[in-house]
Amino acid sequence: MAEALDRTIEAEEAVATSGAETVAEAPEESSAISVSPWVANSLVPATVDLARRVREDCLAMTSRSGAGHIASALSVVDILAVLYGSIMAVDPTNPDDPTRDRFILSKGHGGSAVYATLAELGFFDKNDLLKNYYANGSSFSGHVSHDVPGVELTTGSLGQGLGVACGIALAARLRAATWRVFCVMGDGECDEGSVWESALMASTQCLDRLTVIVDRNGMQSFGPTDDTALVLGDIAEKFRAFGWKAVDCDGHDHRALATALATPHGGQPLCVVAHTVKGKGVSFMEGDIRWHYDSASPQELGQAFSEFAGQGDGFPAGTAILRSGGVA
Amino acid sequence: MRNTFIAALTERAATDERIMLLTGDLGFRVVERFQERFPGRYLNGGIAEQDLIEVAAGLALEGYKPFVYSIASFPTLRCLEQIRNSVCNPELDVTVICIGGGFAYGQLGMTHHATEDMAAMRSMPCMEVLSPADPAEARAVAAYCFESTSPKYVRINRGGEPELEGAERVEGLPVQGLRGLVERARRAPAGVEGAAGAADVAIVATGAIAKEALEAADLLAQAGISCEVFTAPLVKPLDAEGIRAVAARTKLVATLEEHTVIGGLGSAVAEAIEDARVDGAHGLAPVLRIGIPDRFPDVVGDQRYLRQRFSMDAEGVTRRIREALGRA
Ligand SMILES: Cc1ncc(C[n+]2csc(CCOP(=O)(O)OP(=O)(O)O)c2C)c(N)n1
Repeated sequence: MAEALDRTIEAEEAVATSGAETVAEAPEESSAISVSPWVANSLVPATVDLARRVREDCLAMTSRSGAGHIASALSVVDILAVLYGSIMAVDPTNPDDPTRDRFILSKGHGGSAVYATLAELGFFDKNDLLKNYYANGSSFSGHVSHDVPGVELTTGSLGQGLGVACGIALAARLRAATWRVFCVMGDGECDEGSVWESALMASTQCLDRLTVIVDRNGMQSFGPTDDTALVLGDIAEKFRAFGWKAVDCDGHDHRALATALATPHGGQPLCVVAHTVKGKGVSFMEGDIRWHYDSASPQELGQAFSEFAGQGDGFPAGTAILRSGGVA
Repeated sequence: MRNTFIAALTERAATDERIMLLTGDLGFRVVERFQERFPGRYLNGGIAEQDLIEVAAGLALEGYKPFVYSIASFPTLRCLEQIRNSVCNPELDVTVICIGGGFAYGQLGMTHHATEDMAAMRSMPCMEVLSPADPAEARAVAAYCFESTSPKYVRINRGGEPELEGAERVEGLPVQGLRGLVERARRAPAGVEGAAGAADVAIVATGAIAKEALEAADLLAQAGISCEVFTAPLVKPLDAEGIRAVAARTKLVATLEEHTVIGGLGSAVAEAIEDARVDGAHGLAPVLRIGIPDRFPDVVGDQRYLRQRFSMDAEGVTRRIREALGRA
């Protein structure tokens, strides 16, 4: 296991020399997307490899500590990998850089994935995270915490993040700043009325520096969103009705995600409904609500890791390998 | 305690057809039996607590007896005004159930700590506030809720709590008997047969943290300090007469709650004693409020760890009482 966790340089180099594709057809107005010089310098491994390592970290962290929500984390990993690995301008050596792009995980229970992504990018020591996630006396609470470098806002009460993201986007406009705000929500989270209050605010104020990504895995706490709780239906259509530019995409296909996130949306906030699988990447976790709650036993962890080993760089199957800065 | 309470509710629903269980997308592996037996009287209202309270109010207006189930601050603070205007003002028979009182969901982070809930609920006119200490009290609290027609708030720790000393006294109580303080234990230092009613300190605790009070009583006795322990399953209305009688025969009243010291049990006890003084009572003991100080935890921790950090575990309680008595 330690071997798998510590797989670093070699794997990164392998990807870097594998003739990885870049996203070719970046839309015309894609100049809206800023790519961090840090990213452009290619210190970030290809996003697919980043995603695989983040998955391994999340599984290890939650298994070791007995924390829940592993399926919610696995669901959002590719979204985070594409955002942090190829779109957002962030600097791990200067997490509070005023010009950084801001990110808010509104589905705070997916926090292990954000911590792992930040650790993989070098915001803090990964071993510290693997050892101290969910541990007494640490900063790594189960829901994402702004006591951790690189995290903007502690969340965990669903429906909290989008409104704050609106405020940040408004501040960006007031200051004529160029940075952007990204907010990731769960689909079940869209049950909350506050989401739709914020959605109206964003379109009324034409907050075009704001992008929300809905992790549309079709599940929430008891099972399928539409069968067990409220009928959410076509979320993109709802955002459009609320005055947003909204697109759907495959939330595990990095090329599709990057393209969707590059959708021109001048004058409007952008909503990307990323269609995902809860528990993505671990066959026995995919779509099984049990993994909203349970954590992998050492044996299950081994099984999950062996699945990653079998997948090589091709994970997830059919996904284009995206190089850092590929969408610029 | 949550299973105890929901089992009692399920049993009662067989004979009381007004009972409904509404959940805010929580209670996996807890509410299913109710759902199976009474599918028409079970509703998952989604992750939308404000709406859930309004819907419960509507059902209650039409003669149903809804129980609203959620965790942490979600069924209280998240929908405070809905509770105030739509439940309390019309004095509707709605019971709000919170699982995860205090730090029961410790490592999940501050969004999952219910630490100001009793203060908020106590301040609402007509609202009754119930906080069982063990499964016996949870059953008694459930029975109380079945009879009472007031708005009610039930704060439950989680699952797996042991029966505490004196549980048999709770089992025998008539429903209204729950309005009184429950005598749990009396400890005197070895060799000193403390005259009945003349303990050095009386600890009044509410909720599962009462366990720490009972352990503290042993530690105090070892230090030569005699102690009585009571639980208050009803924080509102509080047994003011009982508090006054206890305060008249001891040197110190210590309150213990897993909640901010502002506005909860400690405040209620201090207010009762101050009211008694205004009525002309003399010689009442001062009140030492033990609870969470006016700040959020600065680190991650499980329930035990956070209790310890805030000096609310048995050792901390013992220390604070010894200091207050000048016998540190
Ligand atoms: C306001 C609020 N209510 C309830 C919860 C409890 N809760 C945590 S995760 C969850 C389900 C979330 O579903 P979704 O947003 O679809 O995210 P997923 O885990 O499926 O990715 C619920 C109800 C919460 N955290 N916040």
